[in-house]
Amino acid sequence: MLRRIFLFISIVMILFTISCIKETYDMNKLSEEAHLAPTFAISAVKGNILFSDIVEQSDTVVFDEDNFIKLIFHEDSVFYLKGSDFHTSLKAGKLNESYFDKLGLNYLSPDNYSKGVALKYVADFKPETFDSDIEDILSHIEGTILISDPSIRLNYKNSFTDSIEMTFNARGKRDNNTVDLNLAPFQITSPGSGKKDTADVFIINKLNSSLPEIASMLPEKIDFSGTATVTTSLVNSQFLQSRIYGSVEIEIPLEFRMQNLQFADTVDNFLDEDGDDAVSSQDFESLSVIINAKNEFPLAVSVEMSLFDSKEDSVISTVAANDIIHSAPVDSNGKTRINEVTETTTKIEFTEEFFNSIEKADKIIFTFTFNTTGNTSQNVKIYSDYKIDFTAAMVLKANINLK
Amino acid sequence: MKGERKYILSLLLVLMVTRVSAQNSQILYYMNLPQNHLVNPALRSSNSLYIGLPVLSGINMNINNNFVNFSDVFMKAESSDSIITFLHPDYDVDDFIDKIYDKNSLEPEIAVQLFGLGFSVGKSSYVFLDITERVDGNTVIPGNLLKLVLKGNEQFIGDKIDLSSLRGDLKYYREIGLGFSKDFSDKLRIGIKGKLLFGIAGASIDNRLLGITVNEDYSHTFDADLAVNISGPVKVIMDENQDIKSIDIDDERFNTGSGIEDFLLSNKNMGLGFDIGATYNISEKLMVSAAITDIGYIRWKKEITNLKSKNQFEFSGLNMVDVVNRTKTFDEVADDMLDSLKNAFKVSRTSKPFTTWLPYGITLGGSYNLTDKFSVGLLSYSRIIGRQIRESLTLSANVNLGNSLSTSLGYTFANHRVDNIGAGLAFRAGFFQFYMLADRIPIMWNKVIIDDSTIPLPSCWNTVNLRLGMNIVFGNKVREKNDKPMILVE
Repeated sequence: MLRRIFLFISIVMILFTISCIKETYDMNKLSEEAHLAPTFAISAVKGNILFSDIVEQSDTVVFDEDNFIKLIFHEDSVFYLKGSDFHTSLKAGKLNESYFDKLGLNYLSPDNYSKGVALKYVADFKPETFDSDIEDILSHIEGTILISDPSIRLNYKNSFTDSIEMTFNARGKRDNNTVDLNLAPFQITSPGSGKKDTADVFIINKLNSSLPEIASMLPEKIDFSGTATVTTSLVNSQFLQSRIYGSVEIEIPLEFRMQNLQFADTVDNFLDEDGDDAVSSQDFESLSVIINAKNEFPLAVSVEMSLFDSKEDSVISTVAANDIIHSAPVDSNGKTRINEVTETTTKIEFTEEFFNSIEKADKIIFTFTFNTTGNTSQNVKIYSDYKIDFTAAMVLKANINLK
Repeated sequence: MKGERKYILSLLLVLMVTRVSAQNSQILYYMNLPQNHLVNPALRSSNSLYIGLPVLSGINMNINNNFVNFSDVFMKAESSDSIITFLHPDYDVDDFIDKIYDKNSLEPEIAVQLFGLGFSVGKSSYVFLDITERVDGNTVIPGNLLKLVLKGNEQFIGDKIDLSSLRGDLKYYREIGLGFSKDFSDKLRIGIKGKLLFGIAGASIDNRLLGITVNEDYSHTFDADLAVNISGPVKVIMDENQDIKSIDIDDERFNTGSGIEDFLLSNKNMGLGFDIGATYNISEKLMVSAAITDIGYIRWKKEITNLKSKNQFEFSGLNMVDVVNRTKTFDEVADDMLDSLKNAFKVSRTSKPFTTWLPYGITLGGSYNLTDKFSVGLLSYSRIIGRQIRESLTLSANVNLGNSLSTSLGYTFANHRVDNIGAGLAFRAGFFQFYMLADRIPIMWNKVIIDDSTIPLPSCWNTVNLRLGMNIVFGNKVREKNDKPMILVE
């Protein structure tokens, strides 16, 4: 028994006293390198944005009772003509006794200059130019858009009792391209018997002109010109005191189709800026942006972001997100089928190669490409109550150097 | 710099070398020592009288963590002779994460016996008194928190980062315990100990709810119902917006003797507690026992600071509607969001008394006397800390030669590890009884070189439990035919 007890005690003592070295850690050789690469995912921005949040209703942007959107541009006093502005095709000049003398016509009296002789009298509009003031934006746009049903309301007031034929010219200009209106001459309504003057409207649209072609070229400027022609045998003081003047109202309903309409813009490389807030390529191992959208607009958007070296005139790296926002389905009238709008998710990945290229680029080119639902086969309509409900989240794999 | 590095590394080493579970003295249970009534008040030693002198009588130290070991944090590089950390680029941090538990705890505990007294009354009764200074700490770091820091939140998408297990308690208190045990029959002995607790300083995190839900759409919902309760010389300075400006320790009071005295001898933070236990001899050789220890609380009333935050905040991205309709700039929207977040979790300060409960233990044991001096024992100890339960099971072989020599060798299953070999040794020289015991003895050691110093460290410790001291003991008359491992005195 004693032997067993001593054996037991011996084991205890051995355990207390005997031990062996497993490893040696020389902490003087401790590497200070320490690195963390956590992946954080967080929603960055969100919005439930109606068209009316983006663009307010105004004199130019008009929402009709169905919330259909029209762009309306006014140009007052496109023409203003009085009787004395007219001349015959034989000779230009002011209508008075001298004028008729030079024509060899019989001057009867101030109230009866050319009685018995029917002549065509013509007056030219003073040319006007409508400037869209979006030349800078238009310079970044390429591609095809067809605005299907624009119109021009020519509002006029006329006190000439004789029949007037009007020629109204409009020429859209963008870069070196021009498109003419090709509107045939039309008759101006004269005041009825016993009326001093009359007001009326002449509509210019796709049925009688090439207006859709002008609108679809997205003109920088539109030059207006024209003539008014009166055929009369009686030029008297009433004629001379008569007036015709008019304004135009260009109406562009947002019904169109787009195919690969691109908007491209080049900005300085803000990713490579110095400063505390600057994004450094060293800070990330990867970055993804996840866009989740429920888009009621019949418009798909793709985005490309290219790092550009302007010295070498070359694109170094590109991140592309096709159909970042999908277009909504539409019915046969081009209106979105709201109930069929679905949520779509797009992931844009910024690769390590992209981050490594940031320092080499001095510019970034953003290219947005727009396509309407159905592309070239169908017009779509834009309503002010369309909305886009979106969230954009970032998934960031950080590169944290703790050294 | 070298000195600082040495200091920091040493501190890290102390914290990291240990992996512990339930902390008690499993080895002590079946030893013939006066201190065994601390683990079951029904137990007593064979001495008729023992006196524990201040400090010398007993120091008990536990420093526990259940999640990282030294070799989990520091390792040798494969390609060089460098030492690298788990954060080194050459190391796969996933290997470290695999070792993390849902609840990772760090539990330091130090108990210094200021005075001990135990004596027999009559044939079978035993009365004991203990005055002990105790510092208990308990910190639980949720595994999710560590995973969030190391790997980010992507892994939690569609899930909740539950941080409700985050806990922190630190108590410095004085325990005055008076108890007795008595044979109520030939087989049954019952002991009970009442405790008066005097809190000296304490801090506690009352975590009712803390979590972050990461939704599928990457939005986040933050929930917090959290309070930090402090009783002690702490000054919390708030700014004009009632935001915390600084938290400082008010150490001026320790410049005077009266200030120190007031701090140490205050009786404003009082509490009560008790231990209860029993032993039952099924036969002459077989005994079973049970005990519940450290049931108690402290009501903290002195120098109270409560910092509370309760709210829910959902972040689903900056709302761009205002930016799009041009009523606000992007920066304004971002500032608004930050203000909302700040206001949502604004910390309020109050000074209401609070209560902390002691972690309590449940012990179930059985021993079989192979001879009158040699026994084997099986001991289950469960420590309940809030909603956490720590479980351990110890198999021991015990030799008790009266109180001249008492040894125990134990093998403990705890904390997912089965390599915990512990031992205890107590021997008597005249009136003096010396003892030292540990629940886990490190067999393998690492040699850690810091500057010119070499520090031996256990390569893998699952338990640091060291109890040592010296008692003055009188009497050791063993009653015949008593087969209990704790030998009763007539």
